[in-house]
Amino acid sequence: MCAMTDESEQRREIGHDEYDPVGTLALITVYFLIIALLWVFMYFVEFLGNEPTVVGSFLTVVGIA
Amino acid sequence: MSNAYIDDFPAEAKVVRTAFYSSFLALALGGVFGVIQTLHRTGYYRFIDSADYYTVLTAHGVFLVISFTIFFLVGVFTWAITTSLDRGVEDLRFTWGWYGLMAIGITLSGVAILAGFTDATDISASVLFTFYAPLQAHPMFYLGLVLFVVGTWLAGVDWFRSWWAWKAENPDERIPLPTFMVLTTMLMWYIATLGVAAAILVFLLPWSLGLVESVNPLLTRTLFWFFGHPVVYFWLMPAYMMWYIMLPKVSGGKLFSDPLARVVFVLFLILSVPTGIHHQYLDPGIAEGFKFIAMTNTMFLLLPSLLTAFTVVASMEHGARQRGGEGYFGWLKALPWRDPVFTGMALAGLMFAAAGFSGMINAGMNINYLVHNTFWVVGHFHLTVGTAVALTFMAVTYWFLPQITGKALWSRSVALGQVVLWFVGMTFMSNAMHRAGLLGVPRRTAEPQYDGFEFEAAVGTMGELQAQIALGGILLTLSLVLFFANVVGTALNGRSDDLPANEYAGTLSGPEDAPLVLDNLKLWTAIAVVLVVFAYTFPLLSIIDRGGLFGPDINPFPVSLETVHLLAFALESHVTGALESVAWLGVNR
Ligand code: HEM
Ligand SMILES: [Cu+2]
Repeated sequence: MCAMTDESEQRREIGHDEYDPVGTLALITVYFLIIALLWVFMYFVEFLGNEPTVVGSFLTVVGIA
Repeated sequence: MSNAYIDDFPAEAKVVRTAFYSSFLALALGGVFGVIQTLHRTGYYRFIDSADYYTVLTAHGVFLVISFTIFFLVGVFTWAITTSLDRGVEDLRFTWGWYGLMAIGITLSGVAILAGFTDATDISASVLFTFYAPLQAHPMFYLGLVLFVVGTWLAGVDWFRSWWAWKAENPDERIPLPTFMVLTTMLMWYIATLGVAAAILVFLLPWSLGLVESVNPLLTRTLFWFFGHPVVYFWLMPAYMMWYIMLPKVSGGKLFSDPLARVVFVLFLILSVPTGIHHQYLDPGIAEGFKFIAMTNTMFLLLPSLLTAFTVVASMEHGARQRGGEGYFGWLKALPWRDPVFTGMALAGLMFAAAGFSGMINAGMNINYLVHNTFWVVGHFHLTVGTAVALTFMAVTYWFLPQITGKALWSRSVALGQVVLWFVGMTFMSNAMHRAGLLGVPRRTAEPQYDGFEFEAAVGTMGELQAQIALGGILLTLSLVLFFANVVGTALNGRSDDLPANEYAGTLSGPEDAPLVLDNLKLWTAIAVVLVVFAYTFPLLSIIDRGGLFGPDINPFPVSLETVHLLAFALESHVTGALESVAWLGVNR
């Protein structure tokens, strides 16, 4: 039987005003941190592992590439 | 007697069922081709000729991203309109009419593609799902696509008719959220498909019929991507709809915010189309400035996806807390992980979050150079359309099947195993594809192996990547087998009169909190059109100006084995020529 999990398992009713999505904030913060770390990591993959692409001379001048 | 969809709308349930079954047939075919090409390219098992690889790949692409996704979503949309307006379709013959047109269209295209496997006819269409000129398909392929798209246009007319009729009876009410989502998606689709319609009707079809001598490949390509980017939102928006209106319910909660959901769909309507050029960052002949505009629009397009992440997660959390969940992360344990409908959608959403990152890489003009046309891109879209969309569709199928057949689901535990297996298989396959792409492994290549050259992995080995891709492909195929077992098993069940009611999620903050202007569809459509005109007029004019409306002098290029030899010859003389001139330059330094 494919009963949908719904009110039957509900323990309490939380209305609009009592609800504070802190868990969502926590998860999204974690996601943001992962993205930021990957972004830093990208620098190594893109610029240290390869010749510069469209961003020609500036990086070479600054000595990053 | 239960309150399932089929009890209230028996005739419409039949339409939805037929659309779903058509979609599943395409999924089955596409899956078979998927595993064939996975084993072929990784070198594990090659039983087809490498020249046929491109026929397989065309079939995989077209069946999955055109027929599987679109047949499924017209089913979902029909359900959404009839359920949320609480009225049947206006004219059932019209409804079957558009379904029939879509079915005839895709059959013509499909036959043209599959005919490429035999020498019995000279029909073929191994042009991949992007059908870039100068690759040329049999006219039947293009004609079929046109009929299919016209079918979807009429489907949209059907849904608008329902809304107009409802509005006449309910002049003061807000558009119900599911209907709002369908209408904005269809408006986006009408604008988007003008691109392919022009590409096919004005250029490719006449060219393949021999009515015109040549085409301007950059022009038809640009028109293709005018449609090719927004089509991804055509797949995604129904999946989002499921995340907004089904996921909160199966989580045991309510949608966090109806107004936010409307904002998201409006943003998609406005921003989906003027971004297509981001697929052409590497196309010579389009000025960097135009590409930059497309990049900027693309980055704005991240906004509705991030808003969705917030709203959907907050709605799940609401469910979890109502079910007794506590803490910053502890609430995750209170979610109904044993329910395949929930777990499938949640895992699909998780994969989409990962795809968000690889998508940002693709979207950046300079970083795109690193991954363009590599296996990375294939890894990326197996996370988006191949999982966020496909897995969501499979997961909600487990809710829809009882609603549209009136029969209980064959097995809930098989369903749970299926969605988890898809997630695991895709983790292997897609992750390894991304990594292989970074090493420069090309996509769309039957034998990505070269004499005297080895791909070198900084971490792990090429062999390990190939093994993960093949393993992932096999797990995905097994997952499909389980999925079809459930579809067939359910169809063979007897009628049940103890089915859940046909309902979708309530809202914490309802439409009464949404500004009225959000429902002004004319305004949003006008803004969308203006943005498209801004983003595309100049690139198109400059492409036509340089290359001519029908191209300088490109000859048709039917795809067959002879042309491969021809191509090899042309390439050889080209390369020797280039080498000679390089040598000449060297001598004259
Ligand atoms: C059994 C599951 C699947 C397997 C094993 C699989 C495997 C593959 C592989 C290996 C490729 C790359 C071939 C190449 O570039 O040479 C590919 C391409 C592709 N796949 Fe899948 N795939 C699966 C499911 C899906 C699904 C569910 C979708 C979409 C709904 C999808 C959409 C695509 C598209 C659009 C392409 C690109 C075709 C082209 O380059 O023209 N695949 N697939
Ligand atoms: Cu795109």
